[in-house]
Amino acid sequence: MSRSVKGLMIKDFKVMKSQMKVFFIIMIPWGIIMTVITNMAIFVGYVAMLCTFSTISTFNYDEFENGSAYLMTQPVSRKDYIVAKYLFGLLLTAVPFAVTSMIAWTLLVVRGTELSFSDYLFSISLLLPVAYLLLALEIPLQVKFGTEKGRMIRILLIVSIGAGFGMISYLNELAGGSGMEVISSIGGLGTGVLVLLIVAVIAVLMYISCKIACRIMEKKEF
Amino acid sequence: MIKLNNVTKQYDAFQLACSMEVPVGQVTGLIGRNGAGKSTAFKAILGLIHADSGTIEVFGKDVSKLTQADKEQIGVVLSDSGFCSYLTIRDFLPVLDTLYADFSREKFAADCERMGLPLKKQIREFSTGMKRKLQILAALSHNAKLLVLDEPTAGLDVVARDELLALLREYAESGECSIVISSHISSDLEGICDDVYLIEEGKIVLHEDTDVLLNEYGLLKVTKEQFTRLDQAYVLKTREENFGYSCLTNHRQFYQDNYPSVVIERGSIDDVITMMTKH
Repeated sequence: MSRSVKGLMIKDFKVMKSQMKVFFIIMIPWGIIMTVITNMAIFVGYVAMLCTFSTISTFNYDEFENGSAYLMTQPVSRKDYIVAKYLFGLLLTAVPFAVTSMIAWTLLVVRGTELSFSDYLFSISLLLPVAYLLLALEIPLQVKFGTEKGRMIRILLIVSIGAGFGMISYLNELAGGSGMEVISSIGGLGTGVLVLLIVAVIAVLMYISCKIACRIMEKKEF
Repeated sequence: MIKLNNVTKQYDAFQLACSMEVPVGQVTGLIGRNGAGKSTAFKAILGLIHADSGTIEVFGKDVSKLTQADKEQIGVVLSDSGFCSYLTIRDFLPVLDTLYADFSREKFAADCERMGLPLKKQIREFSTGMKRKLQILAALSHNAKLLVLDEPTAGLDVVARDELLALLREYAESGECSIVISSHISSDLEGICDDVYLIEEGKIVLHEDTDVLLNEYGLLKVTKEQFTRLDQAYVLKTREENFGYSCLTNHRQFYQDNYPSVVIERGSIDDVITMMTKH
């Protein structure tokens, strides 16, 4: 990792740290909800989405009072700036996802769940790719349109993705809650292969998204 | 160190069209009215905007080809931008330390405290002057060979301004460092610049050594009658006044010798701006 990417990521971590208070305020109602809900995937998914949006919010902090212009005069290239955002987003989403997944599982065990650990992992396995998919779509939009102009597009995007996954969830229930197995069996794939396939698709999407965002950034003026 | 060659940039109602040069070891001032194009020129030098035509060279390279190492050699103050306001100076220490090889956390923190900048306060709570001080200290913190300073003294009180100008003077004299600076306070530039460019409506309308400007330029205050008898060969610009005319000259001595009855004031950057830019 280059020095400039590292420096930019440190900046974003510092920004996130300064906003932790807000993060915890948002988390309080969920802490209460968690004590009553049985579907922990909702909570884990919520945290993953929140982290994705937090990554996007770092753009807003950079843009505040035209701060991006000053940032670009420092020893960072435009490409480094974008790469740092993707790496930061991947990390910021994955780590809290892992932590909350474990917390949620612990809570389920304490409550005496009948769910096996592998079934639990299946139930949350799509949440991280969805969060990354959102990130891959959001970052180029954010770079292109900024905070204000991108707002409507972002809302439409979130609603579409939400509706899409609502539909998948509904179909999954119709199939008796074994969606992954159903999808796997269609292509004659094992579940493990399917997971690998999803990881590969997300990796390719991320790469393409990063390339597009870099190209937009190169043309941008401050 | 910096070379702008026929650089143009078109906006809706404004066009930048300028050429200028900042040699090694020299302090160059860019003066002009608000909206004349100073900040646009600075942004072009820093690669923040893309020129429509012409070439911009910094350290002998096209500005778009500058490497991270090259950019480490540039210290910047921007008039309309700065550090992320949600962070504190303490937050920025590891960031700057990572970005710049030649940065000392301890020295920077000590300098900030000496200038009255709190390390643990969010930058958005700083006054305009404090934000400006922080940017100047940051620009001077990593031994840059080139300083690009857009209105570095804006918002500073007299004491802080003098202190920071002394810092800049000291920095400029310490080695082969070049500085390009703009300020709306002409005395700032008179005391520090080797030469000045005057920009008006996006175009460079005057380039002169500061010594020449201060020693050889002058403002003639003449009545209408005196004006008719005045040799206008060395008059650069004339403006009608209540008493007659004000005439800007770059040969003050000539008029002092030949027109002893004419009131002649020493030239200043303010006079040049006023005379060369008023329609």
